[in-house]
Amino acid sequence: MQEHISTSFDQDLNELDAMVTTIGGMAQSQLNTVLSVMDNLDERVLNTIIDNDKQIDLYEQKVFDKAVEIIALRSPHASDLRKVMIAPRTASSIERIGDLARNIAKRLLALKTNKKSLPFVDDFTAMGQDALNTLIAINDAFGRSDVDKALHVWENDVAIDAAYLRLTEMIVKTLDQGNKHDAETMRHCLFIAKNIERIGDHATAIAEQIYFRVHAKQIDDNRPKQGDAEDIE
Amino acid sequence: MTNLSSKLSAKDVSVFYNEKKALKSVSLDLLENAVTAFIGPSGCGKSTFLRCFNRMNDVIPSARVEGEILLNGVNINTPDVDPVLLRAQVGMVFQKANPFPKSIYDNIAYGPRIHGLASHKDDLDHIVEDSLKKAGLWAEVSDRLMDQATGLSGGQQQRLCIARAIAVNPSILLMDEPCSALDPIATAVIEELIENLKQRYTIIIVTHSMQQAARISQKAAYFHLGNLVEYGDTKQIFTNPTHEQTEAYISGKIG
Repeated sequence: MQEHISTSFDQDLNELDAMVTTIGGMAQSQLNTVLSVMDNLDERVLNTIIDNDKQIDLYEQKVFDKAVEIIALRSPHASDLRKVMIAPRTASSIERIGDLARNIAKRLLALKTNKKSLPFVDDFTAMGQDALNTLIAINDAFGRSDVDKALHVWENDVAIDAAYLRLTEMIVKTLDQGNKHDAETMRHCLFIAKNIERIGDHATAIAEQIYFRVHAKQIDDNRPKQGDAEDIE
Repeated sequence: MTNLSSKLSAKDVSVFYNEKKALKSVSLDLLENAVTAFIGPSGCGKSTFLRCFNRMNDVIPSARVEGEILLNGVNINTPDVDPVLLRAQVGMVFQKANPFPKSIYDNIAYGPRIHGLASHKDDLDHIVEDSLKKAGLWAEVSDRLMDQATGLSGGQQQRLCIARAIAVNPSILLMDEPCSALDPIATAVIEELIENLKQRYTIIIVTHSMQQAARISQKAAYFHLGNLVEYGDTKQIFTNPTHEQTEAYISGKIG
């Protein structure tokens, strides 16, 4: 890749990218941790996840501030401009993923408080792991401007959508078949499932941002969707 | 002459051209080993102020400078100070590169010779090479030091002038629109050079290009009709200036 004559300009752009990688790592860590306690609902860990989310919010603001600084001081053009415009959008998508991991933690904590456990924990863990793998892949794709990898993430969100539909069908079936689990627990389950599905959506948004950053145009929106993942709200 | 530290400040500096007050009681402290940009519309007093720091206004018959310019605590705006020695310590580069009609070598060697900085030729050779290296020009001219300096490109001539200023061991470099006559690539090369030079020198640059000021300076001073309107961190000036007038100028809302 060509370098700028101004080495400090290169440093600024690299620093901005590194900040996006950092916030990606923060969200990854949160999601990984919440998945690890879906079984035992460790209260201390869940509270830590909830408290740590603030750090992601603050860091997103730093990414925004850095992008503003580069625009104000460097007047970037062409691919540089796309990089600087996209970075805060990606950070924002990652921040939302962080929020979703926190929301999952809050719901798990509510179950724990009610002396319940998470039903269908294996299915939730598997779906969550798919979402985490997607997040890891998209963070990697961003770091290397790997459009092929981003497109792969973009196309495979359908798998998370499918898992979401299966899980929600199981939840609804359980309610239909009588109260093996109480309605409050099932409500939490529906929201947790939705939160995981939304993580996949944000990852595809990041894939679109990576594509635009490299190709200066939007992905043609023929992304496959499994049924209608927006059914249950 | 040793390289002194470069504490530079102005206290209530006013400049008159005959009866016209072109600069109105300006005070500021320059940040050492940093680039400070003076910006503002034509006629705002920024070049006039720049020239105060090496007493170049002395050569303008109608000009009168009041107030104090302190270099390491000593007011240079007094008859006691030798302006020739001062102008070695406070070097200047102008908008139009002005190489002497001499060889590249002699352009650089001229100042050290007359200031007695080299006792024999080896020392002089070393000063020439060191200055050209610091100015990022050595690699391009080392095999033709006896060529006429006027045969160099515009960007090379300007770097030669920077090397010439460096050769007499200044602590301050004043630059009056040094890139105005250069194309964008030559400009970028000089800006990268300035970025490196600030580690050794305190640099003040007058520029009409706000983008240049934003790129290379750490502090910026905005002048308007002889007044210092705002002086602060470049980042703050270009993202959230304090004064409406500053905002209007940097946003291109006034002429």
